Amino acid sequence: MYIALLFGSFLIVLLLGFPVAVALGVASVLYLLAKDLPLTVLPQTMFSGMDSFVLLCIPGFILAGNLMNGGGITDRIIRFANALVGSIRGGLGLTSIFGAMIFAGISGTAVAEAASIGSVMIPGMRRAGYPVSFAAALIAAASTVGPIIPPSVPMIIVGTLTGISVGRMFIAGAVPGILLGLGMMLTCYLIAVRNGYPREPWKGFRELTRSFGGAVWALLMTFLILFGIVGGFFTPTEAAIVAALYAFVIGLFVYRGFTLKDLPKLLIDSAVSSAAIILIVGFAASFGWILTSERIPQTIAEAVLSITDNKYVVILLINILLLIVGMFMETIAALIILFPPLLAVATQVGIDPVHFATFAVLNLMIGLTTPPVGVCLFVCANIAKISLVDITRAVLPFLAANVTVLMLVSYFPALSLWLPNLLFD
Amino acid sequence: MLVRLFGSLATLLRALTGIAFAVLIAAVLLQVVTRLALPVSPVWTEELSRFALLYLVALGGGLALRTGELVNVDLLLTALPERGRRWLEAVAMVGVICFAATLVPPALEFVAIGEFQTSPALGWQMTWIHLIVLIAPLSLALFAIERLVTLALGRGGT
Repeated sequence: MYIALLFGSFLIVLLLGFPVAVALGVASVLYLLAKDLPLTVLPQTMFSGMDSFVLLCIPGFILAGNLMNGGGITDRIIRFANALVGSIRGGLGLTSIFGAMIFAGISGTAVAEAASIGSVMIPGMRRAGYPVSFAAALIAAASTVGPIIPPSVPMIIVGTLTGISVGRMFIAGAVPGILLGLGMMLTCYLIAVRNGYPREPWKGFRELTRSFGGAVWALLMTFLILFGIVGGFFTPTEAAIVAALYAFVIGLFVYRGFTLKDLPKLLIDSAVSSAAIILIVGFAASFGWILTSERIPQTIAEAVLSITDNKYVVILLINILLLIVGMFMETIAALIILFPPLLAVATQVGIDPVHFATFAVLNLMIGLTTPPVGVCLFVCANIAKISLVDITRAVLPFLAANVTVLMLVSYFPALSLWLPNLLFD
Repeated sequence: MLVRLFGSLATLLRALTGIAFAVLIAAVLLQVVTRLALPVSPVWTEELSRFALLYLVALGGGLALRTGELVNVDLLLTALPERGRRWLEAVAMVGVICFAATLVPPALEFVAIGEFQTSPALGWQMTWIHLIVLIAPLSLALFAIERLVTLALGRGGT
C-alpha cells in the first residue's frame, strides 16, 4: 500500500516533468508523511548518500573530459580514426564508432559522448551523402561505449553503493567495451555495403602517423588512469583528479585549445554537471533507504528465486527486467534503486559481483538508445533535426548488435573477469 | 530588474561552486603528492575533499536546474502544445519550490544535530557540514522561482 504510494507518486511527478532528483525526493516525503515517520530521515539519508570519497571521481572525470574537449581533442581523435578506418566502405560511420571508443577513454558519460562526437560527425556524414537518420542513430548507439570503456560514471556510482572495487569494474569494462565497438562497426559495414554508402580515400601512412600524434594524448590519459589504479599508485578518486591535471596541462600547452582565462568557466561548468548527477544520487539514497526498510530488495530477490534458481535463467530474467526498466527510467536512478536487490539475487546464485556489475551497466546503457526515454537518442535527433520516430527506426540494427554483445558478456563471464583477475591477482 | 537580481545571485553561486571544486582538487592533489613523495601525509585531506564535494553539490544543484542539466522526463512536455508546455513547466517549478519548503524544517533539525558532533580529522563542528542539506533545497528553490518569473514574463510578452 505505502509502496504503491511511493512508486505511484514517483511516476506521476516524473511524468509531470519534475527533475528526476526532486521526483525521488517528493515520493520519499509523501511516503514518510503517510507512514507518519519523521521527515529528518530525508536530510539524514541524503547527506550520508552523498558523503562518499568514491563520488569525488565524478567531478574529476567530468572536468578531465571537458578540459580535453576544450583543448580540441574531439577533432584530433576523429582525424586519427578517419585516417585509420575511413577508407573502408561506410568509412565515416566506422570513424564515428572508432572515435567514440577512443573518446570513451576520457569521458565517463554517454551523453557527453553523443554531444561531442555527434556535433562534429552528424553534419559531416550528411555532407558526405549518408542518410541523416543513419548518421544520428549510429552516433547515439556508439555513445553507449562511453561508460563501458573506463572511466565510467555509472560504475563509480555502483562502487559507492555496494563497495565493489571501482578499479576492478573499470578494467572489467575494457573487453566488453571493445566488443561493443567492434559489433557496431560490423553492423555499420554491412549496412554500408548493402546501401552503397561512400568511403573516404586512403590518406596514406604519413597522415596516419601524423594524426596519431594528435590523438595519442587521449589514449595516454586512459592508460594513466588504468595503470595508476592497477599499479596501486592512486585510488580511482585520485586518478580522476590526476587525469584532470593531465588534461589541463595537455590542453594548455600541447593542444593550446584554451587559455588560463577559460579555466574558471570550464571548472564551474564541470562542477554544475557533476552536481546534477550527485544530487540524484543523494535523493535516490533516501528513496533507497525506504525500499530497504520495506524489505523490497529481499522481496524482489525471493520473487526471482521462487521462479528459478538456475543461474542462466536468472541472468536472462535480470537482463529482461533491466532492459525494460532502462527504457523508461533515468539510468542513475534505476541503478541506485535496482542494483542492490538484483546484486543480492545474483550473488545468491553464484554470479560474480564484478561480472554482474559489468552486464548490468552495459544493459542500462542500451536503455539510453531506446525510446521513449533514451537520452542519447534525444541528443542525436536534436543535432540532426530529425524526429524520434526516424532515429528509432534507424537505430534498430545497432540495438540488435548491442543486445548481442550484452548476451555474450552476460553468458561468458571471462569476457569481463579475465582482465581484472589477470591484473589484480 | 528581478531578472538581473537572479543573474547576479547565479554568478555568486557559480563562484562559490567553483571555489568548492578548487578546494576539492587541491585537497586530493595534496593527498597524492604527499603520499607518493613524502614519508608522511596529512590525515585531513580525505575529509576536506568530501566536505568540499558536499558543498559543490548543494551550491551547484540549483545552477544545474538553471542550465537544464538537472534531467527530467519530457515525454509529456514535448507532446503538449506551446501553451500547455509552459503551464506544465510552471507546475513542475511550483512543485520544486513546495518540495524545497517542506525540506527546510527537517533540514534545520539535521543541522542542529551537528552541534554535538565534530569531524574526526579536522575537528570541525558538523553543523557547518550538515548545513548543505539546507543549502541544496534553497538553491533549487531560488532558481525554480527564477524560472517561474521568466515563464510569467515570457507569457506576458507573447
